[in-house]
Amino acid sequence: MGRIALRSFAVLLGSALVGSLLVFGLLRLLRGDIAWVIAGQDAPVEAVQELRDELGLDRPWFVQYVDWLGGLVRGDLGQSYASGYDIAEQIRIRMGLTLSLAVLSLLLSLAFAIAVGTYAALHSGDGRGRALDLTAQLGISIPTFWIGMLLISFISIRMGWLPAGGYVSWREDPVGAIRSLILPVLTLSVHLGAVLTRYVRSAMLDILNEDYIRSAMAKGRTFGSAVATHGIRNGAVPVLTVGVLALGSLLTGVAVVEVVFSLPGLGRMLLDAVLSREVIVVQSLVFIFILMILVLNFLMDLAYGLLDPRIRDKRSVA
Amino acid sequence: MNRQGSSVQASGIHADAPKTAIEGTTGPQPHRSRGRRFPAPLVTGTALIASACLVALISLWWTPFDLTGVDTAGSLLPPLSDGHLLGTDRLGRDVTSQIMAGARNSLIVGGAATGIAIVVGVVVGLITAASGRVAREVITRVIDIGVAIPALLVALVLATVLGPGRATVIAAIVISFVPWAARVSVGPARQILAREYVEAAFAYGRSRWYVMMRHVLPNIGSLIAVQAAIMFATAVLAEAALSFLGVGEPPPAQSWGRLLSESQSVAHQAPTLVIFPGLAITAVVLGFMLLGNGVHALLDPHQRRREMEARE
Repeated sequence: MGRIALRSFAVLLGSALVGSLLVFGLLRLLRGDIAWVIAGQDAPVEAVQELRDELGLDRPWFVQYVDWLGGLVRGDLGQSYASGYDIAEQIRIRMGLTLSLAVLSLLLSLAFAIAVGTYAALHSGDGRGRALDLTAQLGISIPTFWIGMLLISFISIRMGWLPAGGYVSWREDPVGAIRSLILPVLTLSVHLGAVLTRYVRSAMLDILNEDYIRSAMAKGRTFGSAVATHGIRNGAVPVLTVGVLALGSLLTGVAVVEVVFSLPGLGRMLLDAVLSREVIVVQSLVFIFILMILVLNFLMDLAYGLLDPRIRDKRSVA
Repeated sequence: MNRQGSSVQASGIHADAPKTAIEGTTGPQPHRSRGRRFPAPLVTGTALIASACLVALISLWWTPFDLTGVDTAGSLLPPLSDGHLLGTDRLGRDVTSQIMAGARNSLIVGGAATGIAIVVGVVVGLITAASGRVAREVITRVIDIGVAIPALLVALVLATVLGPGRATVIAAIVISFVPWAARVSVGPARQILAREYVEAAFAYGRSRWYVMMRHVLPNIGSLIAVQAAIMFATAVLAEAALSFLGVGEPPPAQSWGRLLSESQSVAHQAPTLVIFPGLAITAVVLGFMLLGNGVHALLDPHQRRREMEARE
């Protein structure tokens, strides 16, 4: 197990390095001189030169790259150009909110998907199963930001039950923090919950026909306990695979939802940076988003090994 | 479609398919065994897509009101007033006309992005399937990393340097879809390449290009069609989100995402403005999802059998 963990960790580091090079390269390749991007097309030449000196853009690209990477590790990325805030500090402050949105939505969607997906699999032949399947397809098709807007319209504006946006930190007002997170987490969970439900249903359908369920019942287990002890663990592997793939869309969903509910997270910061063309902020934030996806991938990789001894053995042999 | 579908079954990808023909077999194709050739989801999906295309086409020549006509006196009218079926927005523009023209934008972005990504991705997939072990391992690793990176993130990076716009959105969606298209075509292509008739074709002296075009592509075509429908749906969703964020095509072009983003500030006075563009997006996305899943179910009797057994 330790060796697999080490291997996965090496893959994580390698992918992170490739990812940082890609992000850095893409922004440089597309527009050779980012001083122009920051200053704007019709800025005076002297102003652009000044900016270039200040940001050290005349140095070779790999020096700039190493400088940026070092800054990321040390937690010192300089100041924002348009708004003057300290980039690394802002990221630290906002990270908590974005992560709690992502993790809470993931947990809620998983719980929902396991319950509803199993129910749908058990009733796959009749009307209930078909209705649930159609509902899940609908859930996948509704744009996330629109769900947020509808919830704001009806729950916040019409009924006045929950705040329409904004965020108070946990330390100041825990109840207020929870109240401001309810609608965003619900919004995010619709799409992910629907995607996962369909996969849980499909995995469950496979499992219900497996021989080991029949064997467990033959040796005296009830159907329910056979599925609970043997089925769920087997079904978890394919569902986990989809979960990993869904993480990317979950994190970008978080960014969009932060905009809808005006929450001060990393997504809001990224969008503001894109619209004011702050290359260094965009570069750092996109890398952090990729890093979050990779780290969650890494954790899922470890979970695979724990869930399925076959994967564990196959990998340690290889 | 049907011809390709049956060739997949004949080639043995679904080797266990014929067993499903239990009740009243009418033909060699298992999906006909239940006497229903076109399941309801497929029909619904096709109808939704067809009406969206029709609306987009009509909007090229005719919309109920002028698209750019600003009339601040008649702003925020409720639905069904003064001939405005769905009301007017903050600037007094007719919402029906805006939504009709918005269909164009969604379909163009979805179609262009999906088309380019499928062609490039499938070519990459076929090359990967045909190359040696080491090269295949390397390309597969790169594809795996690419699949994990979401379209929205790519779009934000592109928008920083290229600025917002339709080309930016299409390019971003293509970049994130190519690894996906490549990934789904590698496995099936390798399965086909391992068949005896492919070996026979090579022995006969056929070129790799000929085998790919004549044997592999037709056999994986239906699988790719299913993926294309799902991709189209995903592209429409991504475009809507990007327009909502202000990264899509700027005015005077109409887009559903931006209509929604503009409705946010007046959600108090005109709640219906929040509803209709979202319904339009959902209808088109659902249409493509139903189409993709419907075709998939048609081609994959395995799933139907599982459902029938689970029912017992």
